[in-house]
Order: sequence, then C-alpha cells, then structure tokens
Amino acid sequence: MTPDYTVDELMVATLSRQLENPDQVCNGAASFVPVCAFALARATHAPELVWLAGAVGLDARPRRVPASTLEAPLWHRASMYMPQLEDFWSYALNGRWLTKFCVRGAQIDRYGNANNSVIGGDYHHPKVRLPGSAGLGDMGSIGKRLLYWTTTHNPRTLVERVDFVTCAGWLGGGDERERLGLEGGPEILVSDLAVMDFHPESKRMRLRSVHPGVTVEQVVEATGFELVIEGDIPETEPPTDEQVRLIREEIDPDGARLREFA
Amino acid sequence: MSAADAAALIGDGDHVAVQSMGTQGIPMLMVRELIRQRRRDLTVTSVVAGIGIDWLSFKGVMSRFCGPIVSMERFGLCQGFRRGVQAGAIEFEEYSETGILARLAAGARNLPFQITRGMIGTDIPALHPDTIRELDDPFTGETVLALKALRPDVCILHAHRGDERGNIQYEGGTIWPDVQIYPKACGKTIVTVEELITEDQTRANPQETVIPHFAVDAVVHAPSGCHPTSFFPGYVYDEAFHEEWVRVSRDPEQAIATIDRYCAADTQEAYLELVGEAALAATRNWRELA
Repeated sequence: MTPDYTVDELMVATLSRQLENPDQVCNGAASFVPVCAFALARATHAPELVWLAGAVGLDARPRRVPASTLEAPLWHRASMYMPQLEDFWSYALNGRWLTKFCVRGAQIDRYGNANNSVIGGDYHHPKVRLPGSAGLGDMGSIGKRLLYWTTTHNPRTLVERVDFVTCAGWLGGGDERERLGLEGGPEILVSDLAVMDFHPESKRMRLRSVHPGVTVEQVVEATGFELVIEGDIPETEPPTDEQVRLIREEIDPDGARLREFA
Repeated sequence: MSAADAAALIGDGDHVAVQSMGTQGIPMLMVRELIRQRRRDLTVTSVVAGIGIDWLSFKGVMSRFCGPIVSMERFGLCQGFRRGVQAGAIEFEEYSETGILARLAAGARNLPFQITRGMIGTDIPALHPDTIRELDDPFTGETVLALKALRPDVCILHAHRGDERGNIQYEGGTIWPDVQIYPKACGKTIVTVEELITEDQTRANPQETVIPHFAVDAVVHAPSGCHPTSFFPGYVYDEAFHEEWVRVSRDPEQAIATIDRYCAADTQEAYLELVGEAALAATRNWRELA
C-alpha cells in the first residue's frame, strides 16, 4: 500500500519531535524543513515553542510558509523584531536561550562536522566556492545542541571527512570537543532516507532508523563512510494523518518546503 | 548630495562596508554608482552579501570580500562572486558572524581586539593568523579567540529618512547589525535614504533617529533605493528581478550586459523608470504574502 505521506512530510514530522516546550528556536536562510517543523511542533505537542522567524520575528504567526525563510512575510504578527547585533546575538550567546539550532551543510561528516565553505582544491583555489560560514561557524562552538537535516543523503553530502570544518561537530570524535571546552554538539541527523545520531563514546554517526520503504543496505550505500549500526534498525515513525493534514492544509499549503527537494 | 558626489568619497583600493542581509536592504544606487565610476580593487564587508556583491564581482570592482556569507537566500549562490573566487580573482576572507561583528565592534570602540567563543574548533581561525589569535582569559584561563579590530574606510547604508544635517532615521528600530555598527567602525559614512526630511521633522520624531549627524558624511536621496532587494517595512525583494538575475548570471556576457543596462541609468529616477512601476508596485504589496 502506498503511504499517504511523502518524504518531506516525514522529515518535517521527525524534526518536529526533537522540539519541546519551552524551547526557543530560530531559522536561517532557505530553511523550509525546519520552519515547517517549528510550526508543526507548535500546532501539536509543543504549543509554547518560541520561534524567532528568520532570527528577527519573535513568535511570528505567518498564515503559511512563504517563499523566503528570512524576509518580512515570515515575521508576520511577530511580537518583537529582534535587533540582530545586540539582542539576537546576546540571547543566542548567553547560554540560557536558543539552545537548539537546526543546521544543514553541503557536506556533513562521520563526526557531525559540517562544511558550507569550500569543496575540492585548496581553500584559496576551491573547486566549488560555497556561500560561507554565516552563523554556522558560531553555532557549533557556543554550546548549542545541533539538529542536522539534509534532503540529499548521498556520498557527496555525507562524507568521511569534510573538506573544511565550517561548523564544529564532534571534531575528531571521542572527547575532542570536551578537551577544547566546547559544550553541546550534534545530536541528530534527519535525512531523506534515515535518522542518525552519534555514538555516546566514539561520537561516530550511528544509524537509528530507516524511513519506511528504505532498507539499511540503501542507507549504507548512500553514506560516504561506515555508519555505526547496532542490532536491528527500526523504521522511522511515520507522520500521523493529523500531522500530514496540518502540513498540507495549514502550515505549508503552497509547498514551499519542496524547494529543498529540487 | 548626488550619488556621484558620494561615490567620490570612496577611492580605489578602499575597504567598504555595505549594508546587506541577503535579499534585504542593499543600497543598490551606490552599488551601481561604484560600477559606473569604475572603482577598482575594493574590499567589501557585509553581514550577508547578496546581489550587490555579485554585480561588483562581475564588473571587477571588488577584489576581496571580508565577511561571513555571500548568498541570495532562496535565489542561491552569487555566480559572479563564486566564479571570481574559484578563478583566484577574488579573495574571500571568511569569518563567522560573531567573528566579523567582533572585529567591527573593536573598531567601533577603538579597542585593539574583541573576543568571541565562535569558530573554536572550526578551520576558520587557521585561515587568519594576522587577525585571529587564541587568548587565555586572564581570570579563568579559558581559551577564547581574539579578533583584531577592523576599521573599514567607508560604509554605505540605506535608511528611511535623513535630514539636511545628516541625522538618520529608521522606522521601527534597527533590525540589522550593519546600521548600528558601521558608522562607528568606518572612517566615513554614506547613507542613501527613501525620503529627505527637514531638521524640524527629525526633531518631531527623535525616537526614530538612530545615527547622529556628526557620524554621517553624505546623505543621498534614493526612493526605492534598495530595489531589487527589500527594505522593511516598505517593500520586499523583487522576485521576478532576482529570478531573471539567476538566469542571466549563469552566463557572464549576459550578466554583464544586464548590469550595464541598469547602470546606464545615471539617476535613481532613470533606474526606477527602467524597472517600471508595475514591478515596484508588486514589491509594496508584500503583506499579502504573509
């Protein structure tokens, strides 16, 4: 039987389960999956979730997800426009607030380091120049719990070692983060095929569940390094009918999230 | 002051901080004027560079970008910038967001450096031995990063209103970091404004004044001055313009022809005529998009 949901909806529902009352979360550029996940969490199990839309619009209530996750339509009915220099960064750096941060990287490696800077060649003569660090170069180093997502689970995205560490994950694994005095770190990766976390000691990426219809072998094949696989791997919990309805009819009726699945 | 007179404050080789948040708030009149005047070898700093930096890249005006990210958000990578870096013609001096803001904050307050915990563990600090050093907290011994002060020669901002003395007003406060930090860190400040007002009008609403006249060197009248980017709360980005730019910028010849066509307009009025009232009106109806 064909499931009555699609992978984007499964990813949104899975990411939303990582959020709880009274987390504060913010989103960056072109982050449609997290934005839908925030809205879904708020509409279901986490009504007190505080969402700083585009890192500007506090508690925004957009009628639907617009075509940009940074611009003013996303800040609709916010209760505050957060000045970024003093307020946003002070609250983000303070340690008490905005403790979870959703991250996507052009490359993510086995220890959850992410690259959004350069691919191939050397740094000053790269094969591909990516957009650059923005806040990623900070969020991995200031104690945030990092929730990764990617819509391209393949060996080009999930690599043995990133070409450049733009966002600090578990670095070389083990206790390396701790030795540098860094708190927080990567907790989960929600991809279009599976859900991964990180082994508590080695900090190597570990397969936790495969999405319905995907085999463990397919995930292994699509991953550019050896995943930790312990015991039988369950299926990812599918979204409920109500979650699917909310995503399709109320949160993102225009399908903005599909921009991430080009 | 005219855009041409304001651009005369910027010399070849200068470091110029340009207001920009991806698709938001880029002072495009001055970007076009720098292209028209054939400035060369500029270093540009922005918080999130966008289409303006792409135009400066294609036209060979900028040889170095010093900042955290170059991206047009949902419209993707800036192709002229990307090509320039990959060809070795443009240098990307990359910092995290707290990194560049720390450098500017030190410059603003005449301090030698400012510290951050950002970037620790990443590969970014090793790129910049001259501007990033590890530093031990003298109280606890904890290691932090010291970011060397940055004092760009000039900054370019766009604001809602400016008066004849140079007092600058923003509606609804200063959302973007550029506005608060550039005038203090940079040697000169150029502000393009949606509306020119009198000093009496400023005095009627002093709560909206965010940059005092003594920190401002040039005020240039530029209605819809950020087009095709947005300027909250007046207008959003021009979607069709950006989509057309994504299309033509795949081909450098078409990209440069497009830039030249818009830069041929020697006033803001002439530029807005090229863009057309229908396109501008669409950007002002943005509340329907929410």
